[in-house]
Amino acid sequence: MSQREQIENRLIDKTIQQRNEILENARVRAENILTKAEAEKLRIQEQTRQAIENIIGGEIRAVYDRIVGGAQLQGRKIVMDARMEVIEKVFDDVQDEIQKIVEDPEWNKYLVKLASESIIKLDEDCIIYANREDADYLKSNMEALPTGHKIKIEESPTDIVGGVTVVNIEGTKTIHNTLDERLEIKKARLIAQVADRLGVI
Amino acid sequence: MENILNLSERLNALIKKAEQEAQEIVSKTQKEADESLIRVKEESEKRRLRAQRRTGLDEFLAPAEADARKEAKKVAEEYEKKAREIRNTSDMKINEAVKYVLEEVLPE
Repeated sequence: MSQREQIENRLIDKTIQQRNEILENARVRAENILTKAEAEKLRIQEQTRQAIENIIGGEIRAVYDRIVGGAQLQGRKIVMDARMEVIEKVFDDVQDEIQKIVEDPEWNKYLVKLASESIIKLDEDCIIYANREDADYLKSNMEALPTGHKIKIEESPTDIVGGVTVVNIEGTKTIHNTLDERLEIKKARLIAQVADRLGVI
Repeated sequence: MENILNLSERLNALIKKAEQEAQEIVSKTQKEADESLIRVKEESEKRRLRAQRRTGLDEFLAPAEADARKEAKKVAEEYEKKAREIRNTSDMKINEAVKYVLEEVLPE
């Protein structure tokens, strides 16, 4: 290759390289323009979104409250139902246990306690009503009851299970002291305590 | 010598052409970007005005509603999980609670 040809070739190579650089720079600049435009587009859209949110924020919050609030209410009800189901199971089981206690030979011990408690509370002459079996037991174990007042024991005209009804002689004061009654009276307070013990609050 | 000069002219022309081409690329892109931004600005302004006039509120509320529904689903799932956990309370805990209630109910 002649020296002239070599010079020509170098010139051509350099020119092509220069041309490529010019075009590459242009492509880079174009890419930057697009990137900047895209960022500006996003900025405008975000700004608009915020402006719209400020304008109709109330409506958007109302939609949120209606849908999410509804789900929360429904959810709380589901949880509450589940909670009551488990708590009711406890009270159902208690009822079964009470039935077993009443049928147990140990029952008389509780019967005497229930009758004694009522006599002390009434603190005057009284009549103790119980079902036939319980009345018979109390009659034959009068010495186990508190002293100091006249006490009559009678079979109840109504069916009393698991305790006694004590009435003063004038019939003006009555105490129902059965296990069911005691459970019913304490139930409202016990529900919260049971829920706490079960860890379902 | 003349040949080299001819070549040099041709190469200069090539560079000039490349510069023109580069300028066109940049100008065309800039034009497209400007137009695109104008469209976005116009559309954004129209949306803002529609919101201000409360026309076609659904357009704005539909995304909020979709988000809220997603959130509501999550909330419902959390409550259902909690309800399942409650229903699965162990027998041991239930028996302890029964014992506690009986202690409260039976006379001392």
